[in-house]
Amino acid sequence: MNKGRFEDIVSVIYAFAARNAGRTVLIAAAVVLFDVTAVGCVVRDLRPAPARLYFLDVGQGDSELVVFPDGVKMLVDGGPLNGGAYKTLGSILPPEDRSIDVVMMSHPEVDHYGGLVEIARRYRIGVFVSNGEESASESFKALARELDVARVPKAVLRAGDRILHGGDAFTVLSPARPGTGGTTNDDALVGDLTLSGARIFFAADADGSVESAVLGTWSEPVDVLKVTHHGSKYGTTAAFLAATSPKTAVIEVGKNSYGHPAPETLARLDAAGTKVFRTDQDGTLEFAIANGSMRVFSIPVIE
Amino acid sequence: MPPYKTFFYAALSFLLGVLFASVKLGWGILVLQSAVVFSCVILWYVRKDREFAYIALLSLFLLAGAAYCGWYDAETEPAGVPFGEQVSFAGTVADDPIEKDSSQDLVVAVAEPFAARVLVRTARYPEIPYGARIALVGTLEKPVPEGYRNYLEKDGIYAIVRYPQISVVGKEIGLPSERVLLSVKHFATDAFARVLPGESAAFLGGITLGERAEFSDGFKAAMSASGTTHLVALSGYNISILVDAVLALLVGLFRRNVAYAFAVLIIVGFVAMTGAEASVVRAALMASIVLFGKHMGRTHDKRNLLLFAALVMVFANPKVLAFDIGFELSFLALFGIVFLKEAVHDAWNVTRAKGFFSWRENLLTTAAAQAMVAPLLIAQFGFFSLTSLAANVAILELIPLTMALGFALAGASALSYYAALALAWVTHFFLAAETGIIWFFSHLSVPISVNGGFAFTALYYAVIAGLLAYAAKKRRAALAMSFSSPSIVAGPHYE
Repeated sequence: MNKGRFEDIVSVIYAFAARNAGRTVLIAAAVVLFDVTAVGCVVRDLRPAPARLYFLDVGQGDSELVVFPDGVKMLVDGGPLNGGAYKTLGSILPPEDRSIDVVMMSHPEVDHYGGLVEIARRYRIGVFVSNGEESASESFKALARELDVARVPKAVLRAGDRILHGGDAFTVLSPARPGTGGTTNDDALVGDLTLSGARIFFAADADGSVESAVLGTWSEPVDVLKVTHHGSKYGTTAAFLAATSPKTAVIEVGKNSYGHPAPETLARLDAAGTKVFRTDQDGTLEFAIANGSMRVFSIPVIE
Repeated sequence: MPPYKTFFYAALSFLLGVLFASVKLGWGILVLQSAVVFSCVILWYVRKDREFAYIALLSLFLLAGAAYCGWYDAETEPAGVPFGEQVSFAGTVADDPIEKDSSQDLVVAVAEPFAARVLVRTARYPEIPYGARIALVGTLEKPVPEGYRNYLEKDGIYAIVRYPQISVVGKEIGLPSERVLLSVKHFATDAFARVLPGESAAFLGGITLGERAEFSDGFKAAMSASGTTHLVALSGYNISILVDAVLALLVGLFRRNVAYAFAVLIIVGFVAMTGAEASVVRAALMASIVLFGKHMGRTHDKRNLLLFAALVMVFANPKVLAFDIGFELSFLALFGIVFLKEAVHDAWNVTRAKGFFSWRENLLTTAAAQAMVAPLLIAQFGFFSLTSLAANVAILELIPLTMALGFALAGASALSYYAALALAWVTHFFLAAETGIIWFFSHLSVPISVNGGFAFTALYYAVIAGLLAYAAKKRRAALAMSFSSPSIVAGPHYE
């Protein structure tokens, strides 16, 4: 820069500072604060973070967020229309983070996709993953419209398909073919995720028959079990628990008239020696996974 | 009697007449009127001042107000609404729908088979826009309880339908200009939602556009407890900030009168954009009053301007006077800011210097406004928070800048998502500070809930009236002093 011009600018700033001492202090303080925050955000993103797994308290419905160690995000389901999933995401993620890399809808039931309508309106989505089924409801049409407006690519997965990232993988275990099951629940995307050495089983709303079908080809010890269908008595069978011996389990449940979670299911989990967390009692849950250890937090969420 | 006094007494009588008639105290009007006439006649005789005869005459406007209220009721109450029956009817969505988490509220202007405005609660999706022509089948209910009925009736709504069958039969009805302005508003709120976390986006939508649908119940309670709800109500305060900013820009470019004309144009456009709801029209009128009031020296001009604004709105809809808490709060608050704050300056010689971060200015403004509305808040919401003064002093100075950033953000998002995202980063900084202050003071809230009833309220306002009178007397004395002793003022020049 021209030296004379530079001195002019400096002298103008000095003159302003001399006239407006109080205001200059405020502006300087604001600039310093802004800088510190900016640098802080950059440093925070560079620092290796533990992988995190969240179970969002969305009332009666399902919503789970996976954050890989490098910050890549995968959201599985979005809870019901009034679950406020987008607000919870807003308080989990840093304020400037307005994107989700993968959004997976396990199956088109409103307690799983309702909250995705607002999320699609508010977040940039990298890819939308589903089992290919659709619902005729108006809220599902609203979701489809939001995804179309934002030109979100769509992918339909089935058993055997995998989502790979770094050393981690999400493997779809069911359905074998979309539309093969008797009910929407049994067509739901069920899969297991390896995340920094831990194994998480996403059971969606599948019932016992799907669990036994899965066990035909797959059997692994599980660290975190997303309990199927809000703790319904028709899933989480003793056979499944024996084969997977989950260390912890999370029941995503809210006020409901179906009797979820069922006492039988709770008893089976207890008998299997699984530590159980519930979103209706513990709120939104965070699992931090690193170096072969796993820590669980109940995190406060601003409503 | 000078014209300004004639107007004052006539307008005041008219408004009181409307008020008494609204709360069904017809006999109260007669009692009040006779009391006024009686005391005026006595004062006329004792003081030998014919002005009191005029006042007695002007008190006839009490009856005019009551009559107008009665006429309005008879005129607007819809006839032939088949309450309690399942009926099919057709109408047009008359306002911007209010979207909630799992439902939406539509105000539908029904044309056939009966004519009325009906509140329709229906599923969240499909979204039914302003101007849509819809056919419905459902059961019409009368709103209960009475408070809710009055609240809806002031907006001309006399019936509710919950979850009827709805089919959209046409979309091209409604004012085209209103549709365009509403789409501008939705563009802005969508932009906020895309680049800011939920709570920040909701708060920004509130302070810039008066959008309140997205607030969570917890945050609403926090604003109420910290005494900051007025920030998101799109009050005259928000609009006057907008106007001040525009004026600051325009005064540099144009002559003063041209700049003012532009400012008024901007107010009108903004009101139309936010849906021209009664509350926003009122806020715009208030902002205009503040705008012109700043350039009016004489107190009675300001007094009459305020009264005139009330008169315009009560003429348009007499129900607002008794049943619209927003109308009452905003008039009392403005009265406090215009008169009580000045009185405090005059009565106790408080300096007009704004202080660091404008704390003194904001403290006095808030205190004056809150002092006027406190009894109403206690009556309506059960409490009044003492710490709201501190919360407002901490937050008020940040609001204009945040609003400016918000409008810039909406503009930037028209150009580029990433430009908006960058600006959002700065804006969030302020929004987080503001929402943080609201949460903080909601926990510190010192609620006062003494409800001494009518007598206490009357005494409370009498004390304020006394203060105003004392300040006016002191101001007159100071004025007389400066006129009568020029030598003191010019003193130093004699040396």
